[in-house]
Amino acid sequence: MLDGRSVPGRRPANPRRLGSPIGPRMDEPKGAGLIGGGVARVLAVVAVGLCVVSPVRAEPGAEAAPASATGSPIGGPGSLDGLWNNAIYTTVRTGPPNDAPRYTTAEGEPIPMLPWAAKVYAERLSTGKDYPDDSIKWCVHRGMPTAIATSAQSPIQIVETPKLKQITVLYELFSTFRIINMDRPHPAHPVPSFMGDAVGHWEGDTLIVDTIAVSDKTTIMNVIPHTDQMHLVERIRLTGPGAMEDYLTIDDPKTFSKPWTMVAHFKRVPGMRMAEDICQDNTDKF
Amino acid sequence: MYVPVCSTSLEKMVRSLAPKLMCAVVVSAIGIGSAPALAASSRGSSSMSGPGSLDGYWAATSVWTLQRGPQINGAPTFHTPDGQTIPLLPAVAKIVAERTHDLHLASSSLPCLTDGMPAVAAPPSKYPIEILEQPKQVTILLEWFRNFRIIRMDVDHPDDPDSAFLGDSTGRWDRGALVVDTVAIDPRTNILGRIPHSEQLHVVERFRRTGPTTMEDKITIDDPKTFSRPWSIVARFKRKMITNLSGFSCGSDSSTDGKH
Repeated sequence: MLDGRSVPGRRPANPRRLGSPIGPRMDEPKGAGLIGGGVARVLAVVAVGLCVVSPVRAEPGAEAAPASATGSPIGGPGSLDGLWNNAIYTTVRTGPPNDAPRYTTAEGEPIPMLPWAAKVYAERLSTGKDYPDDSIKWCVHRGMPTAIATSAQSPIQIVETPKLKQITVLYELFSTFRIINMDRPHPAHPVPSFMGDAVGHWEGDTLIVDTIAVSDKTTIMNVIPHTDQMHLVERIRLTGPGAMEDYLTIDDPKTFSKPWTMVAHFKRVPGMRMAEDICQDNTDKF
Repeated sequence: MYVPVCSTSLEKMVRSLAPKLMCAVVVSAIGIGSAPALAASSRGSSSMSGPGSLDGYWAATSVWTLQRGPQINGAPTFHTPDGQTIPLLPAVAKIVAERTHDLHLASSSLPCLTDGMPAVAAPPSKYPIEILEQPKQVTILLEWFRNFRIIRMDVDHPDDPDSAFLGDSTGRWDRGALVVDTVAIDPRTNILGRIPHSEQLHVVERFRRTGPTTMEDKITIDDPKTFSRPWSIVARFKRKMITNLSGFSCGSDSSTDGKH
């Protein structure tokens, strides 16, 4: 079911990629992949078992960057507002069915996990269970960073409200949301939560989102652990008509030996409506 | 506070000054009175009526509870906290009378399940909301169960909307108020904790500002299978000076999110 509606990574027509505040400059992502094995089961439950699946009709993608009549790139404030079909990280790659998934960075390299994290990761892959424990049973959303791109079937809606200095992301999956406060610093002592504390600003045509205070109960793609020091930086921008990229840099010195990246691609779904996702309706609990 | 001052002997002194000064005094006094609204303007609504007036964070200040009234002709009666009798059909009144506690949909066997409409129109005061106004959509973020209402502006309901816990909501501006019309509410939700309803439940809300830091939502409830006539209840809200909504805690300890 998770058949990779995600779009293969490609070099952006506009190669300007602004330096990440937490990591080295990253090059283009490589390849899309299918998800299989234990993680596929986990994600299949999330995307199919729990989600009110709505028909998603994506617009055909375009290879060229958008341009206005004057030839300047179309992007920046207001450009992301609207409905998008959610995506799967193109960096989540697996081997043949029943083989353990092989997660890589956006550059196709192994994820630089410290030994303790690699051990937890291997254990979770071998069990095929969903993490955090019982989250499906309790119908609790995945939190960051998995929430960014967990399902190719359920849409997200980006709500840009500049007057409120806020960008909000609504997720059909689990019917939840994420608040990004614009042009302001993080609070001094944010309370850890599943979505973390997110602040954003525009750099040209790119929305930069910086997220901290993510509860260590969340995971990265259900299997990769992290600590309360995880720091996420997203670079979100249009890459073509109706096409959006979220390029994520993950840093956590207690879990990884260096920052690493994931990338997800989204397609506009104009005219679509968000459906209500009552997770409990899709369990055997009623 | 400035009005009594102006009405005393000081008023004569003020009136004796140039009109410009009078104007300045009044303007500064208004400024003091509406300081919270001005302070909130960077995050919330600055206008007091119409589009843009509801933007920002709010928390309910009124409490919705169902009050039991006297028996009339042997039938139980119920009223709202402000004393308004709820026009329950007799058969429904009997069902409500037999219920000894509120029916929150979230339970140990159904965790993290929203109470849906119309309960979420006035969430418990400890769970703020945020209203995001856009021309074609008004979104209400709910800390309670951390989900959201989408109100599509200036459109009709679909011909056959899917039943949903939050229903299908459309909106329009009318004389400075946001009027929200909601149908297709899942019959598993309830009203004031104990009143059941049918699939014909129709909820019309009028959101409007009532002061520099206050707003209200007048909620009119109709369901010919449950009530003998439409009736209304008012939920009052106060501006919250916050910049985020917390996580919502439900489920097991291993999956809680933020505060309880």
